[in-house]
Amino acid sequence: MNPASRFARAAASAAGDAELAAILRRNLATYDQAVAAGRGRFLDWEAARRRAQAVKRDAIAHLDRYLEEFERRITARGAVVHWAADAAAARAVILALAARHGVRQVVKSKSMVSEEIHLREAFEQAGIAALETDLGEYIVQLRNEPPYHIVTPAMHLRREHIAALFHQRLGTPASETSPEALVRAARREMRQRFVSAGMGVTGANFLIADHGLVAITENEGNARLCYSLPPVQVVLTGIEKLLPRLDDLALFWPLLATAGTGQPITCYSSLLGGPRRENEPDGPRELHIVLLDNGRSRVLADAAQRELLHCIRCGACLNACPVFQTVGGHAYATTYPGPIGAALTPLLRGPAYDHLAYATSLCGACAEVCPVRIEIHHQLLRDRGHAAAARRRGWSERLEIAALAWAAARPRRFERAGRWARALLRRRPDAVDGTRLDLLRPWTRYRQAPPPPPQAFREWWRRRAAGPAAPPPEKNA
Amino acid sequence: MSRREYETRAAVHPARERERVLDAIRAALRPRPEAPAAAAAPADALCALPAPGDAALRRFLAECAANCTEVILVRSPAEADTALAQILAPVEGGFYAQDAPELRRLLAPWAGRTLWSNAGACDAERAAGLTLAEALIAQTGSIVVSAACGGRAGSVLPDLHIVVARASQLAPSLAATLSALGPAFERASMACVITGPSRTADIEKLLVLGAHGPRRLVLLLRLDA
Repeated sequence: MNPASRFARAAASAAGDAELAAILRRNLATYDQAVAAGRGRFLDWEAARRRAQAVKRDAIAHLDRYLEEFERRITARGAVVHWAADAAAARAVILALAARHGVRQVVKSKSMVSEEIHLREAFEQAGIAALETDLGEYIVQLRNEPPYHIVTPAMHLRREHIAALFHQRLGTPASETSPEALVRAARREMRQRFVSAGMGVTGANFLIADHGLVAITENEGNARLCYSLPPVQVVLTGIEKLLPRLDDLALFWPLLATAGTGQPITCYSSLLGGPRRENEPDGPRELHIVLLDNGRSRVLADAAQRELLHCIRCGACLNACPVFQTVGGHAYATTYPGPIGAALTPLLRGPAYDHLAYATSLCGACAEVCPVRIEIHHQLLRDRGHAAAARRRGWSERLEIAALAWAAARPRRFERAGRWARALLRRRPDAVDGTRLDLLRPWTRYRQAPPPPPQAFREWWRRRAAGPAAPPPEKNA
Repeated sequence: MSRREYETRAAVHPARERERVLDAIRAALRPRPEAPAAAAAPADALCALPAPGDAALRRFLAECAANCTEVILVRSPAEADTALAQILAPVEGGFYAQDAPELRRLLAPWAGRTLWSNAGACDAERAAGLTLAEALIAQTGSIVVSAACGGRAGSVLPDLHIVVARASQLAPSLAATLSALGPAFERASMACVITGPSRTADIEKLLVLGAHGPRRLVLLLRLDA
């Protein structure tokens, strides 16, 4: 099945799932409440967004310089920076490192870029066990599923689902369904794996150019364990994560936390400057940073879509989107779901994902909540235009557009054609209904078109101008 | 993605790959877009700053209460000893501590149970980790530690993290703290802004403390000079 039909089928199935809808609704209600309170802590949320947008615009416009500055500074402290033009190169670099160190076990903290390059599958094929240690990611890994949401991977599950999963896979008592007990069980299960892992893999939320630092944001402490215990650490991240200055984090840390979860700042905001130093008791002997392009420079090349690279992956646009709320995260079958994913995926993966330009109501809720003010709905509308231009039109559509163009060319002609159409529809309401001539077919398949009005707006307007108190044309009269 | 794709590009030439990515970026940015360097965010972008002095401490304590950091105010070394004894009395197992004179003095009664950071790394058996702090942040109720505070694991692996700090270390804002933190990376490989004990809300958005890191975060805050 092609991605478009798969999406349509998965979306229809999710949209009819009342239990799922209830889970998502509850989850999002909690989120909305927390974010409203979080935004209230900003003196001026809108000013903060505008400043963040300006900072990202600067970072992206000078991306080459900032990347080189970042590389120079962190390399000076003993880290190794690798560049990867595509997913295959990034996998090759990381697998070569694992092979060189004889790594059998890897602990991973949350990284959407690792999902993008299918790193866990690549490890598994190489005979290396890779464990997702973020609780949500751990749960979906046990279920053999991709994450449901950028920030909340197990958003689609209730505690009973997780309890049943843990009972089956970890042997916990089936009756233990309290979140506290489930968190304890997962923590116990993963502790030994942290200690014995030969490699820790993390993502990066930001790369800081002026001091050469990797910034990682989290709440659980699993990323901290991933960069503290294993002897080799790999940071896998996209080239767009740059911020010019360390000082910028005074804005971006609270902004990301607020938009992501409503927290004033996440529990652990870490900065890594290099591998373990001589006088330090622990930390990785080697720190490798993999900078991934994988289509990002292509997005960068188009001035109109460049701002998509400003995204800080907070997930706010997913939560605000009526389409995401209805079809959920898995229906998209993309690494990045929701509005930002719908806008980015066709650019990163090609025209097989053009249908995602239609996975939007273009309402703009995504742009309104975006902490870096990306106009996501405009991007989607543009993508839709590209998709429509690239599509081959059928004979009926071409005929109708030609007829419309002919009719609309002159006002008299337009009026007369409208009269004919209304007369036809009054006599034979189902004349075009459901046929190839029906322009509104995707809509009328599920709904009945309203009967045509007795007179056109233009006729009513003329009569109103002539006599004083003509009533407006009755809708559906 | 097909399974076969994972196996392609067995070898990557590092220098060539670097030029490939950088060239693609440079080409994409030609002509260079207009984007002046944005001014740094003002320190109070997040929220109003506390007034200097007493107000900063009040703000810090309120933020700590909200993020579940337990703060114990002590006014003398003797009070610190008593407070620490109370915290550690019910704790079973060994401790890990940053090798610092102040912690050596405080932990003297438990010297036999303590592994010092100059003697090795913190292991998973340690029940409590004791460190000093690089700074405290009033605006967010945060404690900043670095690898110079006894390494990396000592403040995240044990169930209980105890921080000993002084009120004079209190910075008003996150912005002020970050400006001062830059040079720290020339002597420590890692720094972390800690805001409360470890937590998760991955199950039904319900808050649970002690996900992977400490379940309890206790700050012994010395008000004496």
